[in-house]
Formats: sequence, structure tokens, C-alpha cells
Amino acid sequence: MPLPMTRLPLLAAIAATVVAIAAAGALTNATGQSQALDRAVPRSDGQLLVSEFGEHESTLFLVDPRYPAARREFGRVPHAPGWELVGAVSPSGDAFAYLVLPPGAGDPAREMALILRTASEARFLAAGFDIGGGVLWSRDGESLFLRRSGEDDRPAQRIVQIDAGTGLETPRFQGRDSLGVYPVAKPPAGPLYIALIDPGGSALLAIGDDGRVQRTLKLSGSATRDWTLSPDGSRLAYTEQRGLQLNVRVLSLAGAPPTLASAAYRDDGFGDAQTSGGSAAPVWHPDGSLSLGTFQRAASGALHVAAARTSALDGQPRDGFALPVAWSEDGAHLALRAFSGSGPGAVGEEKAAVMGPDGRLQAIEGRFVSVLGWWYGAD
Amino acid sequence: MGRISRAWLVRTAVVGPIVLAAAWIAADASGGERAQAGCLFGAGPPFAFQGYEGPQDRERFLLAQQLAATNQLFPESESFALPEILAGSAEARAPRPGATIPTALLHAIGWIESKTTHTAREVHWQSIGDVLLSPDCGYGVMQVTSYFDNDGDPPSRNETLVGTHYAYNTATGAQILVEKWNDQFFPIVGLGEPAFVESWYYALWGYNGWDFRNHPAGTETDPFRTLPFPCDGPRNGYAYQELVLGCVQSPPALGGEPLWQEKPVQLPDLDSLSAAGGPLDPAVYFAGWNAIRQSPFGAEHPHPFLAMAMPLPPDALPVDETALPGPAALAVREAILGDPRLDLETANVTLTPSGNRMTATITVANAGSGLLVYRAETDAPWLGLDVQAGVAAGMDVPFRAGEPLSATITLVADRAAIPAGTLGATVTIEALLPNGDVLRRHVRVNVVEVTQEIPAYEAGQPQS
Repeated sequence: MPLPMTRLPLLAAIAATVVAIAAAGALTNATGQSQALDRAVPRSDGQLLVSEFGEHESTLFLVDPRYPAARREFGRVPHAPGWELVGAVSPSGDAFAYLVLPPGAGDPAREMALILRTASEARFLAAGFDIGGGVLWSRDGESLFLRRSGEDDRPAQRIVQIDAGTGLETPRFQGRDSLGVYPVAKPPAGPLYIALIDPGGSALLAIGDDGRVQRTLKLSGSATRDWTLSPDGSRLAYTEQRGLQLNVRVLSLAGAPPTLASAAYRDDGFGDAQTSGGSAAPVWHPDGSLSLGTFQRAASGALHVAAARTSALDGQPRDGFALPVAWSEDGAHLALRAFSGSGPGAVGEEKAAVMGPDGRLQAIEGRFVSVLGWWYGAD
Repeated sequence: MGRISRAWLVRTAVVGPIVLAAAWIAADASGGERAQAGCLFGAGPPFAFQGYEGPQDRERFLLAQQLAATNQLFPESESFALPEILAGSAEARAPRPGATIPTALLHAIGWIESKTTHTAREVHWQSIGDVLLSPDCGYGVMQVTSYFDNDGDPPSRNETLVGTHYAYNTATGAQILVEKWNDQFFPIVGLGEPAFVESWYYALWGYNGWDFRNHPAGTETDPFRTLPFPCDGPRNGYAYQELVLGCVQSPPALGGEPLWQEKPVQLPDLDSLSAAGGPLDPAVYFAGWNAIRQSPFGAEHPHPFLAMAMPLPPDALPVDETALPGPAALAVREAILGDPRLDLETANVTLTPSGNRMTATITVANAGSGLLVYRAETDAPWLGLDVQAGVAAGMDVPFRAGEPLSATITLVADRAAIPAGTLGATVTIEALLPNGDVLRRHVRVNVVEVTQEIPAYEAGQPQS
């Protein structure tokens, strides 16, 4: 169901903040092609898997991106009060792995349980994970990568690999004096990529199957987040973070220094948002181009939306911005986090939303709804 | 607590079958391991405490928080009085007589920590049951961790009071918050005026742990989180102090009524304060830690995080809060603490065979008012108690119909572990009274010599 008319101008403007950046050589056929590229015909029947938070129990819904109001319940997940599940849909789209804080547990840094859910079953895999590391699927869909944190926090953070079929755990990386260790990507024939953050900045580590660090690439002199590997496995996009100053950068794994993703944005003549504003949440389109959310900081300190490619939908930039979450496999629909505010630190009201091929943006019904991914399995 | 229950795993799988056999075993083992090794303090298992859960309206607990915030709960107690609160800038901090914690802060901390409950979730309102225990051994309504040594020994007097009685637990939570406030380790907001809720930003951060996870511009918080935190929303991506301050501003509601009066809160302007070199720039936080690491061994760094001091938000308003008038405070205190009196039903119990074990029960009752805090200890290593300490309710305590006001301690002995020729043991019950007195009673536990083999009890098979 489309949003009420009063919301449409806002959301049209929000659509304007998601910038698609064409990337040269995006379809380079390198190692680590995505599932989407492996398929001759991308599927177009994907549904959004979303979670609506409840104090003691969250509800999973499947949402048809063409009719977001017609959501169908997919399951319920009881959890400790206040803590929403986090998770990821498998590359094949028919399994959902999530971390949930079980009722009675109290520490999301050490007590998250890992559940694997398909259309027919929910299966407990293991427990004792750190919510901060999220859930990463290997691109072959056979393994999951998560973070465990010990009693004395920083030195004890480690990345483990969980076999999605058996739940068998294999240690993959032990952080030392880092502030944060995060699983980033695991291409089928490539190393495990890990982001390492310490007071000196961020680095990308390539970990071989033998556990040795094969390569270390400097990402930034500050913190980074939102790491995402391109479909062809040749580039890594991520958000560089200095306080609330956020900028998306792209690193070629061939070794060139990281570049500001907004360079292409400016070259396209859509304004100079990056000179004083920011960008975040990079998401790769199946065709290899990059989408990201942008926002702009004015001299007054207030933040405004940058005009961008889809601004023709509404003409003038208005308040509000959006962050891409995930493209559907056929590249027709984009799931978003849509905000009524102006940028980080002043986000206003948040809604989950989906943008169709026509650029029209519709909110997904419900308060505290989060998008978990695109589902291609049975209902 | 902290274990993954079979019921939860079943409820988690609402669609289709669930593969439970191996999964449950794994979950149980994992939970068990945590229960043994997860305490932040002490290497032993957590204490087995029982406590009282109040009415759903939380009124008693909120009143206890109000008294604790204004030092009217245990003002004359060496152990539980509110420490004197310092005020002033980092260079000129001095005790501020009469200063209090803004009450809404304790209300919100209690809500975030435990939903303002003292016992485990499965315990009914207005009844007695296992105390809320987090996997890292935080106890009760304020989830106090540092007070307990969890060393495997019987709980001390104060551990017992804090673990079992919500009022002592609340007072200890308030003490810990003031300790963080007074500690020069933590930076100061504005001129260190405690009457501003906003001034407590760093003390709240410290209450949960001075960890990078709670840095508002760090990598574990979501830069796009909605601020202030909506108290009924998911906590993912927020710093702890933001959770508390969000609930100060938007209190949780029951039946449409907020649990406490809302208080506008001005959060730090993250956009400007987290800029390079600003007090909330993560690099400044790291520099504080580096300064500590580089200090000469044994030397304390005076103000390691001084550079994180930040101004009071311009629109912040002081809390217009006064302590309850003396007689009113006394009346509330009397209602909370009462005049408990130990009433043991018997001074002798006999262990009776039950399969390979022998069991008996001791009932601890309260012939007075309020909550009677007791501690139980045995002199026999072969005799186990299912509860180390707990409470028994007086007749004036709101209680669920049909629930026993008294407490029951189950004694269990493995028959094979009882030394040959043993005639009995002694269980000592201590009542820890509000005036500081300790009343001690002994219960003789008799062992009946069993000369013939008794078959193990089987479910559904009556024993003759």
C-alpha cells in the first residue's frame, strides 16, 4: 500500500538521497563472482524479509516489494527484553541466519544465540556470540562468520567460522589489541576478509585457510564500517567514520589506494554534497555499480539533503534522507532505511522502505521494522 | 538464568519442525559453561538467592529508588547510605551537602537493567522466587555485579542483603552510580552540577563499563540511531547512557500511564562534539587510555580523560527535586523495610530417602512485617542447600493469592556421599534485620540410618 499522500513528498525527496555511482569495469569477471552474477537469469520473485521489533518477541514478515502493505507473517522470535535480532539471508536466498539474545540472557556482547531458519525449520547452531560482529555468510552459503568476545573485551575478540550445516565451529582469527574485529567477506575461492580497527585506524586483513594473514590493506586512519565486497570481488566499499563525519570509500583489492566514492558523484554533476557533507551505507547493485546514502552539512551546522540523480521525482530537495540496505537480485528493487531527519545525529523518524524501478518509494508498515534481506525461498 | 531454555528454542521455531535433539544438548552445555565461568567478579558459581517480586505497577521499587536517590533509604547505614556527592569542575570538586541523584536516573537505570524487577522473569508478580541473575552475575533490580565476589563461599551479610532484597540492591546501585560520578577517572560535563540530568552522562557510561562499545561516535553504535532513544524501542546500536537518558525523557508506560514523570533531556551535540579533537572524538578517548598505559607503573594518572570534558547542553534545565519530607520518607521506608521477625517452624528436620538422595525442607517464615532476609549455611560438606539466602514476607507485603509468604529451603544429600555412621548435621539460619542485628537459629538435620536398599523412584510409580 502506498503511503498516505502527506508522506509522498518526503519520501520522494528521500529517494533523491540514494546515489547510484557507475563504476568502470564493474562487470569484470574476476574471482569471487556473486551469486547474482553466477545465475544466468536473475530471479525477480524476491520478497523482503523484515523483522518488527516487540519488547519480548519480534515478528518476521515477508513483504512483496510491489505491495509493501501486504506483508505476511513468517515467524516469531522470542528474545530478551529490548534486544532485536540481527541477521542475514543466505546468498541463495532460502535460509536466514540470525543472532538473538535468548530470554534470560543479558549481555549482547557475549550471549547471542545463532539460529538458522529456512521455510520449514528453525535450527539452533551455537551460542555465545557478540552482536557487534553481525552475521556474515560465505558466498557459497556453506559457512557463517561471527564474532566472539571474552570477559576482558578488546584483546579477546575473535572471529569464528560456523558450518551452516553442522554448526561445527572453527576459529579463524584472534584479535589482539584491537578495538573491533569484524568479518567482512568470504568469496568462494578467496581468503576471508576481516576488518580490524584499533586506535591507529582501520585495516583489511585477508586470512587464508591456514589462518595466516596473507595481506593487510590500510583502509583509513580512522574507524570504518559497512564493508561490502563488489559482486566481482575486485573492490571493497566501506564507510569511513571520524566521529559523525561519514564518507564512503572504495578500495581496489588490486592494491590502489582507497578513493572517495563520491568522486563519481560529483563528476556526474549532482552537486557538491561531499565537500561538506557525507555519505554512508554503500550497497553494490547486481550490475556492479555502487549505491550509497548521502547527506549534506550546511555552514550553519544543520544538515540538508543533497540533490541527486532521482531528484526529478520531486523537483526540489527536501528534508529527509535514506540509506540503501540491499538490492533485489534482479536489481529492480532497493530496500532502504528512510529517515525524516537530516543526517547522522539528527535522523528523525526512521522507516523501512522499498524503492521500485520507477523510483517510487513506499514505506513498509510498522514501527521499529528492520530489513533483513531478500528472500527467495518458500513462504 | 543465562541458560537457553528448551521452551525458548521451541517457541523460536513457530514454522515447521525443529531439529532439537543435538541442538538442545549444545545449547544446554553452552549455557552451563557460562553459568560456571561467566561471572565478572569471582571464579566460583553465582550465589543461589531468592527475592521478592513486587506488584506489576513497580510502585514499591520506584519508591525505594526515590529514597535511595535522596539518601533517605539507609541514611545512617555505614554500608548502604548514599556517598556524599561531589560537585564542581575537575579542578575544584568538593562535597556538596544535600546533593542528590536525579530520581529519574535511578528509575531509568532500573528499567534498562531489569525492567524494574528483582527476580527472574518466570517468577510471578507479588511472590518469591529466584533472583534475576545475568550471565555475568549481575544480581537483582539494579543488576549489581561488583559487590559480589562469587568465590564459592557462603555470601557475606552485605552480599546477602544486596542479592535478596530490592531495597538494598537499589541503594547499592545508587552508590555505584555516585562512585562513578565522584571518580576523577571519568570526565565531567559542564561544571559538574549534579542537579542536571545531563551532567550524569559520563557517570552513566561508567556504570555500564567505560567501554568503547558505549562511545556515542564509536563503531559499535549506529550513527543513524534515533535520538533520544525511544524507551520502548530496540536497544541495538545505542550507547548505554543513551538508553538510560532516553527512558528518563520517555518513561515506559503501564496501562497508558508513565511509570514516572517524564523529564526533557538535552543530549550532547554529537555532530560538533565528535569532530576532530572534540571531547567525543574517539581519538580523544583512545588518548586517555594511552595516557594510562604510559603512566609509570603504580602511578595513577590524575585525570586521564580530562579532554573529554564537555559543556552542559545549552538548554539543559536542573531537576527541581526535593527529598520527601522527613515523616513521609520514614513512612515509606517503614513500608519497604518493615519489622521482620524470624519464625522457624521447627528446630529439627529429618532427611528422608528419595531415590539415591535424601531430602528435607526447612520453612522460614516472617512473623513480622516487611521482608525478612535470611541466610542459610550448613556445617556438613555432604549436605547441599538449594537456596543460600532469600526472603520471607510479612503479612503486610502485597502478595499473590495462594502464594506462600514463607520461604522453603530444600536440603539434599547424595546418599553415597554421607559418611558412614553420620547421625546428622546442622543448618544455621541467620536473619539479617534492618537495624543491623543478626538473629541466629540452628536446625538439626537428622539422618535416618537406612539398612535396606530403597529402589530409585520412578515417575508415576507411587512409593509405599
